[in-house]
Amino acid sequence: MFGFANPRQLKRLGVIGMNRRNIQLIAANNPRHLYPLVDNKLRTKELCLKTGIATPELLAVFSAQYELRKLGETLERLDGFVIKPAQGSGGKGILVIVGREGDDFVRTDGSKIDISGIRRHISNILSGLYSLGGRNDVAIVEALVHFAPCFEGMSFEGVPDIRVIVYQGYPVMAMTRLSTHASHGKANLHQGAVGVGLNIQNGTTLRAVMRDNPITFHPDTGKDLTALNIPHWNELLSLSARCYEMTGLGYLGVDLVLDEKLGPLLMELNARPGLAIQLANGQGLLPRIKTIDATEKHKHQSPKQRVLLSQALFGA
Amino acid sequence: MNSRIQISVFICALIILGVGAIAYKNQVLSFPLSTSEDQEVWSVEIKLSFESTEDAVTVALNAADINPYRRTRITEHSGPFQRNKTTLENGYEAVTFEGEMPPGKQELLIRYETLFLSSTDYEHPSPEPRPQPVFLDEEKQSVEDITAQLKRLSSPKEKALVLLDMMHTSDPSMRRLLSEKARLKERLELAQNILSLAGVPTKTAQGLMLRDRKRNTPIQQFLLVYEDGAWLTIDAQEEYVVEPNRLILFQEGEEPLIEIYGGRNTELRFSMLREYRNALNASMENQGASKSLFIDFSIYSLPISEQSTFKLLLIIPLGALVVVILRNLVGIRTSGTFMPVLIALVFLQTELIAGLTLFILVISIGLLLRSWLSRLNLLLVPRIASVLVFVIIIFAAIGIASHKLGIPWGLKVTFFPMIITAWTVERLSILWEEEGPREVAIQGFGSLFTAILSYLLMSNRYVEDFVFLYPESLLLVLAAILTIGNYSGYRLSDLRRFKSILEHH
Repeated sequence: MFGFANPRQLKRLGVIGMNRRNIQLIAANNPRHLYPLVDNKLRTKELCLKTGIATPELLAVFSAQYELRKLGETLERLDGFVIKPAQGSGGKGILVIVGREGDDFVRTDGSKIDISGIRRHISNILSGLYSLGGRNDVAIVEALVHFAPCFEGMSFEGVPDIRVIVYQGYPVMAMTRLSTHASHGKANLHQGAVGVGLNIQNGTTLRAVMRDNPITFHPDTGKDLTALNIPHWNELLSLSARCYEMTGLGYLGVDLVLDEKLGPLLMELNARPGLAIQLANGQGLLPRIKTIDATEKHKHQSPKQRVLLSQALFGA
Repeated sequence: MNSRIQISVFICALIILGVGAIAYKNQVLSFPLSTSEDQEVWSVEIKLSFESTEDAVTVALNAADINPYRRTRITEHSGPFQRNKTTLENGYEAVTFEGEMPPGKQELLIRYETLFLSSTDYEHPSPEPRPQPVFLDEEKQSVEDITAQLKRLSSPKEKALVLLDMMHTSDPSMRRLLSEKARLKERLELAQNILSLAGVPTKTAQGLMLRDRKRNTPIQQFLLVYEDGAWLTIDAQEEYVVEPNRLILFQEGEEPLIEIYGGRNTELRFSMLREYRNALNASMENQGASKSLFIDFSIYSLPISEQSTFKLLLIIPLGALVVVILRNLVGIRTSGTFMPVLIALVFLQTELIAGLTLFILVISIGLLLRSWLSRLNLLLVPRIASVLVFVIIIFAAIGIASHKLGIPWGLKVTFFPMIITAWTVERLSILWEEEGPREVAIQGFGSLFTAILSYLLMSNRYVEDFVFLYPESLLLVLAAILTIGNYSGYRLSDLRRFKSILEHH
């Protein structure tokens, strides 16, 4: 009817809207003083190192303009790397270098950038161009992730990642986000990336959406998205579940990548994960939230136990 | 859950408090529902021309306020006069004007403002006893006839009207008392005498019939009849009871309205004008207000000029409410949370169409200039500072261009807050680079739509009046905002976004 869903039907499916997310999920589960842990990627990385959660290797940190004099020295040894702002959001300000060609660096889309271009980019990051509210920021340089072969042809010019929603330490829903030409290599669904819902039980695909509409094939590569099968699934889930203990956030979006050699790596955490995952799964979050709320008695469960319970409860 | 109960209790308390205060002010203090209820205000100008014969001239105006439903004040006067107030023996106030001036033709203009209250607790002065009228022997029979006739009538009003009618028609008994050519003064004298015999207290007064845009109106004599504890005014010429709000009574009896010392050849002219003025201000000014704590400790205790500032402040929460509704219930995206309210405030000053045109013009040119800035890779603060300079240049250019082209509203561009405009340009420009023109269009139109709705609400006269008269209604606005802040249901945008989930099932 006029392009709007019947709210009663949505409610029956347990689809959570923005208001409910803000009140019931974020405000009720995420104490504000914990936000800096996840809003600052450098702090998240330090935390991961302490807890023993694998992340892409931290190669260098630039926190002041004068440090850029050492840039050439730092990059000399590196072939592929990623530069990102520690407090950026929505994939802003991320520069991915996949290789070198003479003195130039090659970006994901094949275009080239010289060292002064990289210096300018870092300088912009430091002055807060990509950060929330324009605050001064820190640039991190980390190792390039070589994504696992299962994603071959599934993503266009970007690293595919896996988003797991962890509620009270239980992985409740998951999807993989594949960048497209329309999303400019970014893995954000609202920018036009493809979202593929994943079965919590085994990591098989459920359904794929792009710009809120169901699709079957990747728009750029034409690959069948349902053929995707994610390896290391249990490991991915327990990695996400452990982030609950690490951060203390009750409603957490865990972004993971699957490296060819290193396996699952934690990319970043999000204290305000969006709701597009419901679209990718074709299901509402609320029934699962309620299930977890009902099983809350089992405190002091290990992350592994929680993953097993989630898989049993939410397997499709 | 506990916080939910807390907030519900709080919301209920706000509603009860707000509604209670509004009801109290409306019912008990009889505040109007709208200040836009205009009240008729008569502006009467008295022009006194005279020839001064001495250096010091004193003019005494005996125009006391003797109309119970009326509030009068002298608002201004002209000429080299000093105004003094004196209280007369009968309790009324008289005004004197004193001035020094060279001999010669002089003029004194006095402007009165008069408004009529719908009801007052005014107590009419009870009639003073009138000396027993004396009639000649040959008149006595006729007087008795007439009196007998009048006594058959019940109300004093009817008696007076019938008597006046007899004076106009050729009633035989009346003819013996009054010649047909008798002047009004004599008729009134006779009427008073006969009516007092018939037991009706009377008095006479001079006054002015109110007729809009009337110039050089003569002063008139009226007959006042005491009935049921109130004085009725009767036009003796036209034989009807004049509504109290149709005339101004100046002076009881026949004493001169104006006395002048040090002048001669006086000439008195009255002109009047009907105006419609804000009822609340008028009644506040004239009632001496502050009878109730509610009024005393409210915005009305502020000077009128400050009140208008507060009027603007008080409607801002309404704009905020619109933003809350559109963002949290509808799910419209705006650029900057309360930027639309600020834009709506500008629209209040520029009018909608002019404001919209100017805003779109400024933002478009700003975005164009800003796109050039992005290539320079400037640091953040210098970049926004440059945008600010751009915005000011755009303002100046639009102002000058529209002036040259003869478009008067173009100059209103200066009403736009510069810093906010600069930030809007900056934000939209970054949005353009990061998310593309589509998102810019969504947020730009979202902001404008929100601004237009806020404007329509805030510019509504009744809404504005209501909030101003009952600032307690802000408690209700707060209650509404808190309620929405607690709403966890779907937004309209959610319904659209998640539609495809339903198709999946």
